[in-house]
Amino acid sequence: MIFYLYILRIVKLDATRSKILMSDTQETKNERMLSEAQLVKNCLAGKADSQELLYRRFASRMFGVCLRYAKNKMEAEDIMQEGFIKVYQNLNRFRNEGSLEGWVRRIMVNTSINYYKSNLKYLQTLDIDDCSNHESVSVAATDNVSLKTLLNLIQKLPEGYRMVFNMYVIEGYSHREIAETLGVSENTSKSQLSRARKVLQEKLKTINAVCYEQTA
Amino acid sequence: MPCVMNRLHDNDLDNLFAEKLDDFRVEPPERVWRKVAIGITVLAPFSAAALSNLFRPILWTLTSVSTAFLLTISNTSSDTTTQQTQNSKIVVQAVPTIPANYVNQIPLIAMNRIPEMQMGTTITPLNSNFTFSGSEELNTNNNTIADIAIDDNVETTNIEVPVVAQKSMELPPVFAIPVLQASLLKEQQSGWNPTPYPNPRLSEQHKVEPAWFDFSYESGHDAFAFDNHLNPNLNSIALNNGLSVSFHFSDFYLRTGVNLMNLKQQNQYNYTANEYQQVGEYTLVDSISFIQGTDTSGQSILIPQYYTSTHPHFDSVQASHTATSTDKYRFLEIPFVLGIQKDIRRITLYVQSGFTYSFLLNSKELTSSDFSSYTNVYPISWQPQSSARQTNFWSFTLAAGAYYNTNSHFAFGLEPTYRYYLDSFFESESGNEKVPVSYGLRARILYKF
Repeated sequence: MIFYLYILRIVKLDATRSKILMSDTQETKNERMLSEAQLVKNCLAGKADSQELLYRRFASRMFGVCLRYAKNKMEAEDIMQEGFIKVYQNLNRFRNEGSLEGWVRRIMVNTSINYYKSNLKYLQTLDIDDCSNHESVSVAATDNVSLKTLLNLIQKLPEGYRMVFNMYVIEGYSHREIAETLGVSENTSKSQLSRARKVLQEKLKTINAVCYEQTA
Repeated sequence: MPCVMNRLHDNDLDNLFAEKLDDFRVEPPERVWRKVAIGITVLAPFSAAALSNLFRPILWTLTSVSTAFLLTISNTSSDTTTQQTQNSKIVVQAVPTIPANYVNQIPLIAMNRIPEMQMGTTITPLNSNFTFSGSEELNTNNNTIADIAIDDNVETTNIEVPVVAQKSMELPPVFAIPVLQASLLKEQQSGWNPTPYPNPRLSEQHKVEPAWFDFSYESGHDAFAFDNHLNPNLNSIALNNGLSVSFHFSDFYLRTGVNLMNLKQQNQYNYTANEYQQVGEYTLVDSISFIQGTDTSGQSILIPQYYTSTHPHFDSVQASHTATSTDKYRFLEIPFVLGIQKDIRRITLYVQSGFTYSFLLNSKELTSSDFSSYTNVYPISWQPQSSARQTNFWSFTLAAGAYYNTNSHFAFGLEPTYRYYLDSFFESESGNEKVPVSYGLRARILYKF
């Protein structure tokens, strides 16, 4: 039965895709300009077109969020898949009080945290206290660092460091919120943030040195 | 590079990452949406409309299988082909020449650039955000998406934009040609290279997920069941080694390749040979003694007493025997398989079915000379009792399996298979009326391109 449901979904997707690909008809333009409230309403009514439209609207940004919390692309895909299914399951709880994007992003972050916590027993915490020579890197040297490089730096952080760094620096959580969410102490959160910064400084310094040698 | 040695303090570091990664966008692979869509479908309550629509994929599947079946049974043996060739007349139909005017009407298929003869046609650009190069006659007045606001933060990119040409001249089509917009073709990426998405509004444009290939090696055993109660020894084991290439489109794939099936099977042979055997008995008189007696007239006579012994009589005679041998057959097989697969994290589940064409490459059957070398018995006659194997036949294969993706290129897994042979396995069907089935288990190693 699931196999046939899957086939059915593919047929519906292909029909939707072929409809959208027929250049920019007025109908598809109207669909794209749907308000968030109408989009949510259509999704709750089970309209496949609107469900896909909601996904397309936030997919690229949410995948960027998932990539920051995951250690590789495959893990990010898993988190994003799980997160979007939660979005559709809980869409009836969205009150239209805030932005839909913020709500979806919150779910993605929570899904990432849950993913981290569920896999915590399999993870190995790296001891990076041996990292020596914590010289700071210059501000000017970071100007040319690409987005891809920054993402790689974050993804290569140990799991705990990456979670704390993402939540504190980019999401704006406080140490107390991080401690409550991850189930650690505030001091642990601060310590991991500090260590994450040191690792990133070290990596940026290496990149800076390579950049300098290439320029010279 | 001149470095201004201002220290990158914690706040600077935080700002660097926060500013650059807060609005970080990467277009996810198309498969993510498919998985999400499946998740929604499975979790959604079952509706009557969905139930009614279930007939569509069923019909689609049946139609595909029927078509494949009809194609395969249309040419099953070389004998039939020869007969048809001799009895049929070959009719050659004249192919009409396509006028030059119609040539321009053929849509662009898999072209990234406009051919010279299309330069005079009306060109519809995809988006005015891009600067066109290579064509001087582009007309953007009719651009239906030109009113889309462009993000000022995005730099204008000077790229070659693939376009679709439309001929304004109305001409009746000569024949139907499937149209694939060249603009939708996307080169497959061999590796993942995350790049920021330049224009948020473009993210709503759907893209065609590129098709991809995989190359696989498979090995495993097949157990044959002939269901022949008269000769249970026919049940046998085959070892398979094969190489396959799969062409993936959407969640489906077509797989073909070559497979070597080494089959060991028992055969029976009747033979006659001269043997020194007991053919009878003879009696030897060992000794004679006489005793005195009287006859009927009362006169005394000597009566001989014979002491004999019986001995067997041996001679060279022709004897019939039956020998059993485990013979080897090597088949070359070409599978044609259609499958569907589903990814669950690192595990990929798949179901596939199709037809396999097999032909006998060589066989190693017991001969009388081999038999003589093994047994020192020289047969006068040698008659195989088991029927000869078909030199070619078709079989239907159904398989389901799973493989584990170690990374984006390599995967390995197991594949239980069931195969039903459409033709008889033997040339003569006497005693082997039922076609065999086989059950197998194969290990597969994949490399994805």
